[in-house]
Amino acid sequence: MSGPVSYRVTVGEQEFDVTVEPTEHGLVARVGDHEQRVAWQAREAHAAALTVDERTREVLLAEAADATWVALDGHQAEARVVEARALRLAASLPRRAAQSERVELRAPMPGRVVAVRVAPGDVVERNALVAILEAMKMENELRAPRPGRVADVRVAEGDTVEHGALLVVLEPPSGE
Amino acid sequence: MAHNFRKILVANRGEIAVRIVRACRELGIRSVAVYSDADVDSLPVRLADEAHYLGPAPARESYLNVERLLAVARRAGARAVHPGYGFLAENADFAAACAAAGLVFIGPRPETMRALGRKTDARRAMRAAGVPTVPGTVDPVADAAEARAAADAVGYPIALKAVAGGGGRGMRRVDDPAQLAEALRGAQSEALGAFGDASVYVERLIERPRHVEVQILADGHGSVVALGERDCSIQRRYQKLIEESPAPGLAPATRAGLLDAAVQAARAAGYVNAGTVEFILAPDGAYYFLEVNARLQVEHPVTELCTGIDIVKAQIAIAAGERLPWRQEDVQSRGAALECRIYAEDALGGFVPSSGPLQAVRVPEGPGVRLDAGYAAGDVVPVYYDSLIAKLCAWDADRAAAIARMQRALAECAYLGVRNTIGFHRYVLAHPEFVEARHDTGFVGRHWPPPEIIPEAVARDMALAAALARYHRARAPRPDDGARDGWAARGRLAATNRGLL
Repeated sequence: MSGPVSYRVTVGEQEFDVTVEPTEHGLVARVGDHEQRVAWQAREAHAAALTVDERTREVLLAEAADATWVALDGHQAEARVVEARALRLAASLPRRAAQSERVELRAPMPGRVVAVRVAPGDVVERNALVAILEAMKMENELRAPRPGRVADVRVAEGDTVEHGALLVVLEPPSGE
Repeated sequence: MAHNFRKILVANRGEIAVRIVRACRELGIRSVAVYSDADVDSLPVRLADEAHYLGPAPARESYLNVERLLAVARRAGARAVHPGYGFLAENADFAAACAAAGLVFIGPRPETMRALGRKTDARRAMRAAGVPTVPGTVDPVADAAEARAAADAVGYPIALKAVAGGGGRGMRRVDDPAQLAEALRGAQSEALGAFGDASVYVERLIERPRHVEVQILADGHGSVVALGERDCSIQRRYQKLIEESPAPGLAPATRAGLLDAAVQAARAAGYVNAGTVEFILAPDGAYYFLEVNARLQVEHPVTELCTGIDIVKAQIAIAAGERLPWRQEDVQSRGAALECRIYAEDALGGFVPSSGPLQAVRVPEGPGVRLDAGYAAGDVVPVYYDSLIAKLCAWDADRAAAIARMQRALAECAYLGVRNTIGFHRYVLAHPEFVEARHDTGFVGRHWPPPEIIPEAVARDMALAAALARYHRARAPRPDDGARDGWAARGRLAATNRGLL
């Protein structure tokens, strides 16, 4: 049995932190301060029965590229779901690094380096795969937050790294 | 009924094409759908007996292409053409071209459409027939001085309106003489741009008006009946969103007067087939002729629900030369009906059209509910046309029960994949001003958008549902599934999960 998984979900203007945790009595979900026993029974491609504290309702749901469309209790909305782990990953790197800055790619969590896909001198596009870090039984792809040239690679495949360890340094593409 | 039409061409798309195809099927008439590149596999194409290609997606090259439509009708061997509403429905030249090609146009005669299309001509004809019109000019005003004189005569505030107009274009409100010249210039240039005719006339502006209209049927043998009235006061930018019948809170004498006036108007115009006479109703109960819609209206189902008369079948019978089987006293309106137009529009974001695939659809069922939809699950709402997805109607014994039934039906209804107006309807139907029938055409401007339309408790459970769906998907992955959590954990997550868990 795996551990809890947390999500940040936006519904319209409203934002919720949702944690789903399997227990021996089934799933327990925490939404904000509310903790409830829940069950989720997929019925067909887009319909499910959602049970919250013994009350069961029909949910219509469609997961699109950028949003999850949900109809529940006579209302319809687009929900945006981000796994909290991904939020932490995103937060651990400079989001919109200026083109002229050096960028240090650091380990967002402790783990083992499964692959390094760049070498010093490589020119990479924004979003290019830089390294893969295995942590919590998941492979996490680390990508370049902006275009650049690889100035330094501080790790090799098989290395075990701590949270925040420096992995790769990017400098502006033309070295200006 | 209508036995001399073996086959009818449906010169339209979306829900109204479906509506007409259904009427044909019930009458034993073969239906011919037409489609553009954007509608190749659309619902009417799937439902009709046959379907023919018109052309590229833009309406001008497909649904407005008269030559092409006539060629298709000829090739398919259709005997009559139903234009639906919009597109060519009120185009007198198209009606005439159909006749010239030996096709029966299911609608009024071309000369009737021409006469009613010019608002000043229609106003003059209605005044002559004794139908009340809004005080103002029957002729276009030539310049600011003439407009000034007319405005002084009817009293401020006034409205400047395009003679060729409709839909609020070429229209200006003027509250005092100082604004008049500027407003006239604006109305004229807008009218010229929209209709190719800069003529503008002057009317007294009726404050807090309701929009009330009367459905009429007229056969080619001189018989005219009124099928009751509809209140269409919930509008935005002159586009109706909710219609109902009967009009709430109408004094019996006012209702009788309206229905009489509509029949007089139809007679004065020599009208044949189904039409709608629109009025504005002032808060004091006075009503004034606005215009005749010389076609089937979007909102015709509410009248069908109350009267039990199938207006589309009646149109076909009238076009086939039959006599109306009802006299006025045979027409009874029972109970109350509402229609909510479900548009693919972002209601909270200024009603901006929203297009795309309908990924999941749930349609309401149960007693007293009618859905006229132009799309089903998996269909794409294209960007090229009117954004109406479906019309949801509810009937019950009285207005309060019909509103409750509509709320229930709206709550069962979902179109996922495009933003739509379902939430808007639920808000309006719960609003005291609408429930107590104190609303007017300014309702949307006054009350929409509200700060939040999804209660927090519902939003919370929606968040939970979306998270649970993601949670379970991540645990029952398919090969091409990737958690789309942004740049950091793309793609590999699910695959790795399957291997390690």
